[in-house]
Amino acid sequence: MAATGRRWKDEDEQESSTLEDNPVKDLASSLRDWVAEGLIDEAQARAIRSHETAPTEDRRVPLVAEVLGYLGGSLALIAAFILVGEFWADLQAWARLLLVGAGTTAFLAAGWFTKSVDNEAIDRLSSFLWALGTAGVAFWFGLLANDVLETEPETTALIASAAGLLVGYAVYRLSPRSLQQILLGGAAVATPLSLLAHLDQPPEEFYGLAIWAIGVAWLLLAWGRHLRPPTTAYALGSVGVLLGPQVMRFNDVTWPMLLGLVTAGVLLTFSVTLRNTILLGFGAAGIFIFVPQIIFEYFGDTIGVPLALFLTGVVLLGGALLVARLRTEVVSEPRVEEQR
Amino acid sequence: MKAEQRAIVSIVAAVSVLVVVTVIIFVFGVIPLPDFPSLADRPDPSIPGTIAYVIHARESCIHTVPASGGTATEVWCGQYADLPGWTPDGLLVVTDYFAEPVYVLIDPATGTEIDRVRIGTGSDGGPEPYPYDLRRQRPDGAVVFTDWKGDGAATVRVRLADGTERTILSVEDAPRDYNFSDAQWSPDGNRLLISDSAGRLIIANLEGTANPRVVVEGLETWAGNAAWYIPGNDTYTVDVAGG
Repeated sequence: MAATGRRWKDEDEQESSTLEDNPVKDLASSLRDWVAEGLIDEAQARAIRSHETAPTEDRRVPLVAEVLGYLGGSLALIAAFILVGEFWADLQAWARLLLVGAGTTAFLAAGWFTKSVDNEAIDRLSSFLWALGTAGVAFWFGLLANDVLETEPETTALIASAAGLLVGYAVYRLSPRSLQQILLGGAAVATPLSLLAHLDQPPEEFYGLAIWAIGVAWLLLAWGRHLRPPTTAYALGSVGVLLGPQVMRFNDVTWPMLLGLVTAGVLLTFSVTLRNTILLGFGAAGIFIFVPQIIFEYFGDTIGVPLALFLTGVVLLGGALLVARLRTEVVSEPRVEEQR
Repeated sequence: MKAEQRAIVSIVAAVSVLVVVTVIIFVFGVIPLPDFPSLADRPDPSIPGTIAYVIHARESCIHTVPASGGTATEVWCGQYADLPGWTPDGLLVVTDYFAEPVYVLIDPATGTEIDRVRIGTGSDGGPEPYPYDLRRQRPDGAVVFTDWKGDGAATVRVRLADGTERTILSVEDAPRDYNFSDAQWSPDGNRLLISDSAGRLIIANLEGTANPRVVVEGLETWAGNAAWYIPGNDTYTVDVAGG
C-alpha cells in the first residue's frame, strides 16, 4: 500500500484514507507494485488502469427517489383496488376477467421491458412488477374457476395456485430474485395443499407435515445451490420447517412440537456446519417457539404453571447462551455462498 | 463435496423427503370415512314418510327424498332459507331470512308457494320461531344426543325417560374430526335421522340392530337441516295456521 503523505496519521488510518479518498492513485501504486513483483506485465497494467479509470455513467437512482416511487406507486395501486372494489360486485364475470387480465398483462409486460434496462433500481422495479403480474395470473385463474366454471372452493384454490406455480416458476427462471422466489415458494406450498383438500377425507392434520417437507426440500435445494438468492432460499425453507409443526399443533396434536424442536436443533447444527447466520437465527427462533409449548404441554399439569414458567425461563436462557456461542462460531469464518 | 455432487445429492435428498412425507400422509393421514349402506342403492319400503333437507349453494334449495330411499327432488329455492319443517297436512315450511324472516309454505309436490307468514314473537300477531331442537325429544321424554371427543370415535345415544342410556350408533377409528350431529326422532318415534360431518343423512333403527343407512349424501358438513314427515304423525310439525 502506498503512502499518502498524511504523516500525522498512523499507518492504518493512512491505508484506510488512501482506499477511500483516492482509489485511482492507490490503483496506480498497486499496479506498479504488481509489475515490479512480476505478477503482471506493463501491457496488462495499462489495460487494467484503462479499464478501471474509464469514465462510467452513474445510473444509480437515489434511494429516496426509489422509495418515493414505490410509495407513490403503491398508493396509486391501492386507490385503483378501492375504486374497482366499489363496483366489483356489479361486474359480469367477463368484465372481471378482462379487467384483471388487462392489469396482469400490463404488469408482466412492464416487468419484461424494464428487465432489459441495466440499472439496479429498475431491476428491482422489474422484480416488483413481475411479482404483481404473477399474483395477477393466479387471481385471474381463480376468478375463471369461481365465476365461470363455478368450481368448489378447493378446486378454485388448486387452479389458482397451480397457475401461480407455473407462471411463478417461469418468471423465477427469467429473474431469480427474492420476490420471485417467495412467490414461487408460496405457490409450491399452496398447490399440494389444495390438491390434498380434494381427497374424500382431507388429511387436515397433516397439512403442516406437507409444509414442513416442502421447507426441508427448499433448504436442501438451497444447499445444493439450485435456488437463488441463497439467503432467501434458506430463510424461506426455515420458515417452512418451523411453520409446519406449528400448523399441525393447531389441530390439538402434540407430537409436532417435538418435530419442531428437533428441526430447530438441526437448523442450529447446520448453521455451524455451513457457517450460515440465517439458519442460526431461525434455529434459535424455533427453540424459543417450541420449548415453552413443550414444557407447558407435557409438564404444565404435573409441576404447575409457576415451575413450568421457571423451567421455560431457564431453558430459554440456556438456549440464548448456546445461540450466542454458536453465533461466534458461525460468523468467524463465513462461507463463500453466504457472501454471494 | 464437489459442487456437482452437492447439486445432485440435494435434489435426490429433497425428492426423497417429499416422497417419504407423501407416503406418510397417505398412509396415516387419509383415514376412510365410516361406510354405511345407501338407501338410494337399496331402498327399504318399510321406512315410511318423506325427508326434506336444505342444500346451500348460490341459493338455498329445499329438496325432498323418500325416507325409504330413492331419487331426490328439488322443490324450491330461496336466497337464504333454512330450518325446514312440515305442517300437519304435509306442506313444507321453510324459514326464509332474505328480507324479514318469514315462514314460506310450499306444496312439496309442485314447489308452489302457498303462503308467506311473518315470523313474530308470539305476542305481535306472528307465530314464534320454530324451535330447532324440538325433534330431539320424543313425547315420552326420550332424548337423542350425539357424543364426540375428537379422537376418531363418535356415538349417537338415547336417554330414555327412566334415565337409562343406550348407544344406538357408534364408530371408532374414524378421522379425528368425524362426528354425528343434529340427531332427531322420526315422527313415529321408531327411528333416528342423523347428520354426520361427511355431509350425509343417516337413518338408524331404535330397536334391534341400528342398521344405519345413508338416505342423502353431499350436504354441507355444517348444515344438517332436515325434517321428516310421516302422514298421520304430527308430533314434529309446525303450526303456522294460528299466526
